Amino acid sequence: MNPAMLSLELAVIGLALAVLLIDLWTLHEFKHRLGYLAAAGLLVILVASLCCASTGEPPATGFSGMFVQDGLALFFKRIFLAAGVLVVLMGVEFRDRIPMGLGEFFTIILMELAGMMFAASANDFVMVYVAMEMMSVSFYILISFQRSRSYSLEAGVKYLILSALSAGLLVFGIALIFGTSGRTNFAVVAAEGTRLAQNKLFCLGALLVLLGLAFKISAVPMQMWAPDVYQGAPTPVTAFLAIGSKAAGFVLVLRVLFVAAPALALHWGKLFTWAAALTILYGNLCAIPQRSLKRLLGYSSIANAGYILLGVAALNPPGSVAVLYYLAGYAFTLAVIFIVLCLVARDSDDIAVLAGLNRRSPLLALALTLGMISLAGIPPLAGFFGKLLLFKAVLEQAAVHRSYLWLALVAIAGVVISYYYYFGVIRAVYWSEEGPEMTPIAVSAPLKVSMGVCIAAMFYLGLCPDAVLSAAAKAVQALRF
Amino acid sequence: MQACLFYLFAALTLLCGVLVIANPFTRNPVTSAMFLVLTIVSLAGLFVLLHAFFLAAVQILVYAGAVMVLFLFVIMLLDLKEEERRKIKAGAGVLGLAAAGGIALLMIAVIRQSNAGVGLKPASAEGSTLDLGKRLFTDYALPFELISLVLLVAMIGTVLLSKKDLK
Amino acid sequence: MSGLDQIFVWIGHRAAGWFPASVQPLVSAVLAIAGVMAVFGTCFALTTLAERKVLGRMQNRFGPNRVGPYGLLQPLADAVKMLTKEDIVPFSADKTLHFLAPLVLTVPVWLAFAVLPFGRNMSAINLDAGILFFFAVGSASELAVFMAGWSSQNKYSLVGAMRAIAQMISYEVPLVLSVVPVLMLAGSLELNDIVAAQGTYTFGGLARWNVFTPWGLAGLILFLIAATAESNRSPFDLPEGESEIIAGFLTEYSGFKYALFFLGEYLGLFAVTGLAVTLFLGGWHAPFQWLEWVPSWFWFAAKFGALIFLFIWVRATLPRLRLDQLLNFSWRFLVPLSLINLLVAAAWYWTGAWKFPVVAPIRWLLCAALIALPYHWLGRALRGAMPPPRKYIYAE
Repeated sequence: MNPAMLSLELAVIGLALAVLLIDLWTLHEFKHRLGYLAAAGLLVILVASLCCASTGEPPATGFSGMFVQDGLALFFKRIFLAAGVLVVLMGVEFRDRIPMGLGEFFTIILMELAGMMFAASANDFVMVYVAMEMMSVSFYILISFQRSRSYSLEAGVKYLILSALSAGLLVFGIALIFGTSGRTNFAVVAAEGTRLAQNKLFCLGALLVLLGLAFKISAVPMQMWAPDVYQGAPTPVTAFLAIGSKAAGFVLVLRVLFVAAPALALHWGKLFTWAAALTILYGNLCAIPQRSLKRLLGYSSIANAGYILLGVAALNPPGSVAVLYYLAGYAFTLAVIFIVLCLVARDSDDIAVLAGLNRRSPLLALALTLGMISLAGIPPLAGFFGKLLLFKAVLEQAAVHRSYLWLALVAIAGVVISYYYYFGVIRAVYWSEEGPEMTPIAVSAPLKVSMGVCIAAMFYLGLCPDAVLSAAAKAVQALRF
Repeated sequence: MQACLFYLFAALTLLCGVLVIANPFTRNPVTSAMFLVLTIVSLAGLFVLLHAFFLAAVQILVYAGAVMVLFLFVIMLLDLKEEERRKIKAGAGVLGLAAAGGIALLMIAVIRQSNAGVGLKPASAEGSTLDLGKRLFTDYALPFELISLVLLVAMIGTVLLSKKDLK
Repeated sequence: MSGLDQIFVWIGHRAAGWFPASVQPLVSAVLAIAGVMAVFGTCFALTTLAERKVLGRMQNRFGPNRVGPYGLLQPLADAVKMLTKEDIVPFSADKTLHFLAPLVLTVPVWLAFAVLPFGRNMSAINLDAGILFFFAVGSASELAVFMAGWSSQNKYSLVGAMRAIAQMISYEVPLVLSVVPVLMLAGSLELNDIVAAQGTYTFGGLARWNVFTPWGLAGLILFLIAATAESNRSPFDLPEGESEIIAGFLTEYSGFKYALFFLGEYLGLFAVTGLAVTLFLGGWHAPFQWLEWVPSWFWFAAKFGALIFLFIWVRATLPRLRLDQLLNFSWRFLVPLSLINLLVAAAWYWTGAWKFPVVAPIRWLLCAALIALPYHWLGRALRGAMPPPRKYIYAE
């Protein structure tokens, strides 16, 4: 047992409890400063994780093998921390639409973040479940936080019910795995992998676990909730769902597949091929008729889950590197978009609120456009290079099996379809009739800075990806193929 | 004797479980809740057959004693007439049955094909409270402590979402 | 010493010995059940009478004195009256639940007696998680109260059931929490082990009962308060508050079913009293070493009787609480105090290693202060949280 290993998580939890306590003695009109406190604290932790924390080399396990601190975990923890800073800052901007409990809002976001960080380090099915519950429970509350808005409550209930279903599948799967292997630890299960892979019951267990995780990443067949919940949740929470929850789901998928059951992963290429293809098609086709921006992003997030699944389906190291890289770029891209939405889509999130945005605030218009271009995958932004890597990984596998070629074709078709709705948004910004509301939008300094950082990160990732790629390549050494 | 009891409790668990969600005679939520209590109790019976007395007692104490009572407390305050009038839509019923049946068939097929339980060592921990406690505070200490954070978050959330007016 | 002490055990063995060996475990189980049911059934009858007698004395009147000598046959007359009354089921009631409710209350309560040690070698089963079993079967009473109140389709019944459930949930927390220190220091969930842990004697031959420690004393008081509320007795008898809601969840019950509820409530009280004796008052151990020759079951019965008298005394003394006072009292006072009591128990455990002259009183006072100060502060906070006294505009 080595508590120092948990220092990042403990710091986040401590920050959460500190915010909760300080909230007690904070006057109502100063509560948003708690958000700045939380963001500053997270920034310090992020910087600490970048310079002082262990590099994850060699990987260290602790707590009876429950918890592993390796390159993969650290890579994701940094993404989560960065996302946490941005989401908390969005929350500060969003404060006039949160009727009460602003201090608790930040606390629960921090707790959520801690749950994600534990998920990144999970090395045992019990930890997978506990981390998932920590994320889910926090999201139930965060999503229905605007309790006077019926949309928010409806989204909360939907998320609660479907998340409970997926948690049930996950636990059932874990029970089957435990029943057939007698253990829950990834390393121990993997050691008996070849024998267990023959056992159909074990395969069913692994399948159910993956289904439970598919809910978090909103992949077919567990994608139904995404648009409704994205639309109903408060915008910062939607951002966190799209960035953090998805990344946490993917790190767990990678760990379960390539750490706990590598013997099984070999046979499951087809399964992931289908899942990826269906997810891409579903997300892109359903996004076309959307008028609500957050709903559109919900479908787009399903489509993106499909793209990222390409990297998982490739079942090779370049695929996993591409997953990590894509998620990093995706986090910054979505952060920019959601910051703009926080500021612009105040009363409604219909696409019409963007009318005349380029005159109301050229900065926001530019930021949104860049975000959409990155999502669409147009060079030179992060989204382009990520998709390129994913497609390359899939095409490498095409030599092994023909179906990967089809998968790549489906994905390219999906990208082409997505141009339609992403450029629809850009058109609404620059070439639409003037909206009723034409007052300039003031952007607070912290948000300006964070937007600048995100845009810079998008360009940096797109133009000189080497640093992140080498970090990702080091991170995926934790996985076995 | 053991086998008889096992089949009795297993059948009761399944039957009551079905009656919780698909009672053909009534759509009354109280009836469902009562069958849920029975499900929990028969599940506790299964735990007893496995010599897991601690789990059995906790199962009844927590689920039947605390959780279900809170459920009932809420149900008591609802207008049940409206709920009883609501009918299951035919399409949803058929699809639901098909899904449940499909999963059941899959499970049965898988269990028949796999030699479940072969080559497993008997569980290293008996059901005794001492062993369970030791396990919880050594091997499973981290998830056990994390659960307390989950509960804290749930508590904060409950207060926030239900309290009348909070500044 | 052992002859009289083990007489019931001996009778049980002899009686079971008459049967073939294959059925002997079953027979001895049946005998134990029959014994417990006979003793506590009689106890129920006697307690109803004693309660009325004692209440009568305390309220300066005679109590029942017409049926039999000194009114001793009164319980019999009551029983005949109850059993011959018409059993009325309301027209709109949920018939099944209305029928099941008294059974769900009464049957599990009997199970709780299975783990109580009534004397040396005198507990029906030695369960590894005995105390949890006790609370698990006890939790059925909440369900029964709900079933009774809801199925009657009567607003007074429903209000009564709501009050009862709110009260029982709130007081179950301090009830269980006040038990935890005992489990911590005995290191076992089995009631026989807990009794054995209190079985040694210290200076002057005084027993080492848990109640003689600061945390044990506080625990016993917390436990008794919570137990009073759990068994719906005055001053926590809001669920049946006859001046407001007729008889609460019992409103629509009559005859035998009403009697069953009555039986169930008293048995619940007995069970929880027996648990208090076992956990805090040394179980069947004698208070002084030189009194060990007295049979163990006598000590259990004596402590049991004393606690039952205490319950009756409290009922005669204290007026009924209001619902908000009741809930505030539990969540703002009892629950924090029982949590603090856990820490006091831990402090007691760690100070046990201290070695210097006159350590015993210092240790005792230190731990007592640790629980007494929070008691004082929480009490003041509670008084501050209460709404100001009501102003009656029309009834001055």
